[in-house]
Amino acid sequence: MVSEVVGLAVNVLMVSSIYILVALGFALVFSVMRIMNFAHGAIYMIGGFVCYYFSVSMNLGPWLALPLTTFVTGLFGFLVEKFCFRPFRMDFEKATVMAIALVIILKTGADLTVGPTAKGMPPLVAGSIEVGSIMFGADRLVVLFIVCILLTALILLVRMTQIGQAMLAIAHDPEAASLMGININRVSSLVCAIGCGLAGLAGGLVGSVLVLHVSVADTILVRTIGVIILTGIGSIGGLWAGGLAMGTLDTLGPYFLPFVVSDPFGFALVVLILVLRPRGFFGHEM
Amino acid sequence: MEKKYGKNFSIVGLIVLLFLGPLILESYYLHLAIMVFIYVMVASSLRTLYISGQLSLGHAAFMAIGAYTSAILARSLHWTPWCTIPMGGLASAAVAIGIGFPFSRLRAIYFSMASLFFGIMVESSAGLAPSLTGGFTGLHGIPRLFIFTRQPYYYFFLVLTLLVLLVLYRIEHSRIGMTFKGVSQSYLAASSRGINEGGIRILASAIGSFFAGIAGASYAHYAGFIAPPQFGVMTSILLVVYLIAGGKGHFAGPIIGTVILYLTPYVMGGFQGYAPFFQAGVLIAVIFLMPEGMISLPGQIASWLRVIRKGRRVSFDAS
Repeated sequence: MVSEVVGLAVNVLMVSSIYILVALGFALVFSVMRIMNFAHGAIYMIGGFVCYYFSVSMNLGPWLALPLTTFVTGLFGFLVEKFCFRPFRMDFEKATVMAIALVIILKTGADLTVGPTAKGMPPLVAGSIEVGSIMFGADRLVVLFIVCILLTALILLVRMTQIGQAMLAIAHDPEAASLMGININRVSSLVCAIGCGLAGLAGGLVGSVLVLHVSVADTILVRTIGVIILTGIGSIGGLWAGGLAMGTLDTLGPYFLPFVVSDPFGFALVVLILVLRPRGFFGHEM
Repeated sequence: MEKKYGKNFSIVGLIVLLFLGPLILESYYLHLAIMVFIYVMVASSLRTLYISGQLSLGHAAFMAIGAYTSAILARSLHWTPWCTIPMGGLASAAVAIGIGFPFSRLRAIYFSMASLFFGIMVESSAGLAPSLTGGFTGLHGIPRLFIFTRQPYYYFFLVLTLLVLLVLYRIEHSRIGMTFKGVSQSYLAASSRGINEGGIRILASAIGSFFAGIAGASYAHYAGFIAPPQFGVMTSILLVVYLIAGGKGHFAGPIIGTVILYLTPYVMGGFQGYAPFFQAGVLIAVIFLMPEGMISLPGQIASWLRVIRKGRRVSFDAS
């Protein structure tokens, strides 16, 4: 019993931490640029494949591949912001069309280069940890550890540094922020680079725990938006709660209910929360 | 007046051409035309929601409800598709009214998010009753409307699409349509004039969902096979893309958007794999060059010509 609970808790924490990591990038981009980046899931998927390429095809090993993946997807995010999203900042509909064009390009690219086969990467750390009668891979704990460090660093970046304060200021009121001498373009570039870099890194981290497939793009996108809704649109500090709720729902749901029931049930819960409390747990009315 | 008659004349000419289509087109092209008709219906019905200020990101779910209702009725109870297709539409409208009461409290992006998750919920709930819905692998053996050839289907979908478009056009230009637009522009001003804002929005989504349900149901009896991913998130978002890229401010916008964007991957027949890149390229070109969508292309070309002739930039967008 105890071992089962520990195993479940590790899974819940790992899934939640990945969700939080992806949702953080999405939420940062949304609050600073008011753009729903529907391409976020596709970038996560590409991150997984880029990491696979570096780590398996080029034989660099996971510990070199992960930073490289972050850099590549971050650079991609920087370019995307500069050439695709900057003209459509604050324009929800046009930015949506742009993001869909990106999704089409990325998914078709992945389809053509990788194909429909699922890929798996070697674990970050070999071996497994035994708690009572249940065993789980040590790499899950490593993933959890990396994500926790990254999240702490990001929260410190947003809360403590000047550029983080600039992000919050733009999220609060872009016009006033630019009057105070904040360069919105530069902050947007940084935010988009960080967001896409994190999504790519999350894709790479998950690649060693789960499988890589083109279809994960949609799955993670839906989860990310779910986390954003549960947290409250526009809130960054409360993402841990939304991520934890979504991760728990996703991990424990199939454990207690058959999969076919738990999936619609979880989405219905998200809709219910949206109807009853549109602000989510921490958000503010916009 | 002259200009108006000219416009009507060209529309009539286009319809006549569409009726003559099967005489020259091969079966494969007829299939493409039928798919375009279906998506034109759904994208135009999405516009009915849009003009009432509700950008639905889950509209394909109503296609799914219509398709599954009609398919299950026809398959299990052996009713004729002619009877079950309208029932599919009615089921869609009933669901839209049912969720409309809670959803009418949500505005703008909150409505979009709620409809997105409603769409995902509908897609994933196909697994709840696998014996009825066929689960995630899809529902086979749906009774068909006509046997074998595609020509009767072509005429059926052409007439159906024209009817649906006519009804939607009349609704948009009626008093109710004006009320939709009023609610969308300022719900405060609309409700201060005695308009029941929530009721109007529920009405708009019921009308839009009804026609989406009809389209979905008739698709089910054309293809003979439906599966949840056909009505998934990406279909819903693509419908919004058809609407916005075509031109959201005009009735013909979603029609033009659907025709061009749906057919672009197929124009590149020889490069099937690379064809979606072409579609994405069209999308990017549209949002960069045509701020009001593809429908504004003639005006844009005129403005570019003026720029070339006079050598200075003439502002085009009215906003």
